[in-house]
Amino acid sequence: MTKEAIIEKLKPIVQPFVKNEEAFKNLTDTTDFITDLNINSANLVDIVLDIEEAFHIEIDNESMEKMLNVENTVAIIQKKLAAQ
Amino acid sequence: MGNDIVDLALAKRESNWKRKGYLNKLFTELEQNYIRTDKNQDIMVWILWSLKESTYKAYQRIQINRGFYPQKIKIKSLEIKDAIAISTLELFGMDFFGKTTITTDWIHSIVTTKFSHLNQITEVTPQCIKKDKNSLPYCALTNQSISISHHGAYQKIIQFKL
Repeated sequence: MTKEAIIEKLKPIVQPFVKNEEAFKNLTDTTDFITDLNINSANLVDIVLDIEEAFHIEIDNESMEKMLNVENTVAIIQKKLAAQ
Repeated sequence: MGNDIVDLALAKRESNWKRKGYLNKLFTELEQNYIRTDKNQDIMVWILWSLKESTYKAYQRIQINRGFYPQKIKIKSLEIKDAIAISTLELFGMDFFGKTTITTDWIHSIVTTKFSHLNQITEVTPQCIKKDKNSLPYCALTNQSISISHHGAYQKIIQFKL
């Protein structure tokens, strides 16, 4: 999957937890889930679980650790898809 | 130090901790056992979570290490008496001490690096909040570090007593 395709699939997963709509509209690679989108950290786990379901992948704790922004999240999804 | 407040009504609306895989991602075996064996599981989930969140914040004061690593923040012991939970935690080889106040509407945890420091923390409402280069809050008038937590209808700001 291309980076763009992953981001398009990622957006509706993240959206329900977004507290800063303006930052979400202007989403870029460096957009941070916590500091930019103001997502509650307790909801990060929902995003991780939703990603696992949507992309049919398993995200280990070590990978999850880095999933604070768009760029890292896309890279982890790509890596997990490639390993299948 | 670090603190974290949970608005229980909002947490109920926003988080379904009973969802498959949820507890496994956040909590160690010991912590999941605390939840399983508690008669008020809803409350126990948020006590443990607020302690982890507070410890994460406290650690950032020692060394910045951003990431989502809830399982690395380990709760080693927890005792609840009269709606106050006292706990010990560990992160990256360091010990932390937690005090959690439990009410019917909210749960508030404070975490420090020394047990004796728990009694030296006070709640404040400063008009001087600024953030340093690492986005950590402090009071610009006194230069004192503060920890801010806001969730739903509740906010608590703490600092060491002057």
